[in-house]
Amino acid sequence: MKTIEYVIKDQLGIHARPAGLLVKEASKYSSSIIVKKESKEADGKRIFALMSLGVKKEDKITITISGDDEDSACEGILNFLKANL
Amino acid sequence: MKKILTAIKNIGKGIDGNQTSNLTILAPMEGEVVELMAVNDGVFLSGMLGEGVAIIPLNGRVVSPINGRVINVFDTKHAIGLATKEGVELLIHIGLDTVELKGKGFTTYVKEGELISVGDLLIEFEKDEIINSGYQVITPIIVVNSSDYNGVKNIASNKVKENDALLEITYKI
Repeated sequence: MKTIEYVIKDQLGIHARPAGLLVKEASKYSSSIIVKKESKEADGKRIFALMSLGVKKEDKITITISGDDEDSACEGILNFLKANL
Repeated sequence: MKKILTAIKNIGKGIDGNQTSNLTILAPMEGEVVELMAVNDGVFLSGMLGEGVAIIPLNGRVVSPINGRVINVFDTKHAIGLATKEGVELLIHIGLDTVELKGKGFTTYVKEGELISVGDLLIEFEKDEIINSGYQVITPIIVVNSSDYNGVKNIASNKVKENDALLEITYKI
């Protein structure tokens, strides 16, 4: 299991565009990808769940990745976050 | 005769012999219907968020196209997520990049978790003000869980009034 902790830098947080792109990235991997903000959790491969977290700039999120390809998933997701959020 | 044939086609067996059924999603706005591929935004036109259509609205009203529940109201009020009682998840995203307006020009009338019926007023927006601020108001209407279904088809004519038939979702029972 791998964990990423990340503080959102983007002004607009996770709205439709980055949510869609994040789901697209997460769906490449077979591992389970759970995004957590405070006490709320969302499946990183489902758009509505992700958008419901209402993640804004300065929010800290924790992403838990678990599965056979967790190493590549972790790298992929972290690169995505740095490039987009 | 044509109506009877269409009804049989809708409820009967699909090409591969499996039982299929379908659900019609209605138009949440009055306006001109365009294909998603014509929307000037990579995230929508690529179908990344799911399949659907877009409407160029004639006025600033968004009414419920379904009987179901409000899943998600963006606090920037420019987009809303709905779910039908059958489990279809629908995103209505008013305009492109309108998240940048941070709610200015939008009024919401429903809350997350609320039950809604066809025709209920969901959001009002100042169409002209938004256009004058430099944003397009073309509104993608997306079935975000399109991959759960056999197909999502645009069945509307060029122009729709609120709650005219818009999309047909085919799913296996």
